Amino acid sequence: MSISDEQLMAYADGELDGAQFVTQRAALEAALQSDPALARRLALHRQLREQLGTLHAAVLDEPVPERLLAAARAEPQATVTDLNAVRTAKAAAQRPTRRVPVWSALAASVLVAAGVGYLAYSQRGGSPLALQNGELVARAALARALNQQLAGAAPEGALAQMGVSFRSRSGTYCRTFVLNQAHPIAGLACHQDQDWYIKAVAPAISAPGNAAGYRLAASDLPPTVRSQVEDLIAGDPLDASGEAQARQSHWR
Amino acid sequence: MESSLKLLQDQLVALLPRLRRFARSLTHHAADADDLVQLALERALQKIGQWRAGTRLDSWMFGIIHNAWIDEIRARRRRERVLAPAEAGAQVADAASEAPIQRLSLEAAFAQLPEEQRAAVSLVLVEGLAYKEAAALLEVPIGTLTSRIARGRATLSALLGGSEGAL
Repeated sequence: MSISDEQLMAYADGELDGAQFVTQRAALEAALQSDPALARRLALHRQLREQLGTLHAAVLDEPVPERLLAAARAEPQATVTDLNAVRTAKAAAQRPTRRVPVWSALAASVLVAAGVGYLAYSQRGGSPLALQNGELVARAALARALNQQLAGAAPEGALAQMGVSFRSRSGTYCRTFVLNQAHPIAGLACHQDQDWYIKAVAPAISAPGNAAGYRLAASDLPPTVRSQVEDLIAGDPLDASGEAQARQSHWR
Repeated sequence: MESSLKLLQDQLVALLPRLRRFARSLTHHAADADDLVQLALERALQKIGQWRAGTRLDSWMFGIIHNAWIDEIRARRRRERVLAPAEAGAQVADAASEAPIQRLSLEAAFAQLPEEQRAAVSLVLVEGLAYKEAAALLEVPIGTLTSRIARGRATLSALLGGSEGAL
């Protein structure tokens, strides 16, 4: 009888110990007697099994963090939790005096916008952001880039580079962008009635060693912008041809 | 009722070192692993009524940890897909398979395994679960589990320099 590697492995793992496997086991043990190569393979399986028994074994000797002991002994809660909630709670516990009010993200956006406006004021072509009926919209070079520029195709010295484009749940097109300036700013704009409305802006997270920064990687998008994308996106982001088609149809 | 909950919680506390080890082998990141265990404990206590006395509490907890980890991976993939251009994913996926094969530490070799194989190998070969138990908590047929373990083993043997590819 030929012995498959899976059988040999199951034998090494004690899976053939039960009474129902008695004939299979006998055949296998007979084969092991007469076939040194098979016996070597079994030895390797056992060696690996033994080695794996030590995987992260040091963790077993570490003191269990207090928060886990508390979690195990907590009163059962009815709330739904996810990993982000755990992290948020942990971060809040570590910095009890620095609770960030809800409005601060908005305030930060406005400050950033003011900063962009100020910085861009002296630039030729005018400010890339402006207020229109109380809403922030893209103007000048940023509006042109949002209309025309494809992802990863920023011309030399371009003010803006485009990230991902997608359809929002309300059917409009939205695009992420980074404004290249002394303090780069990342944002999300959605197209409606000829204009690009800014849904989020925040200081860009600079990518070390990537000064040219022509790829908008996940790590480059600040959390406020990222969470807006996740809230608004319907389905998957556009691929290159989808993006080109959307541009062709003037993002409508 | 009160005291049986208390008893279960004592058992959970006793399991914590192994739960942390399992989470570490899934995430290979200490802080992520503990976050995962904490989340799993919260979820477990929310549905503690679903645990049936006489079944293994460790398997049940491993299952909850694993499901929480799968949720996290999906969320991460979604974030990556949303935010990185299409070609980034392909590069990441290829990096492991094209890396030169050399002798690695056990932990480093283990981290090279695909997600599914890591969970299967960890449950059976590290935590000592039977194939049947591991298959049940991963919600896969036993044949699928067996082949994941076989493939995981072959990769580990190669990476650890044990078998010279003899398997």
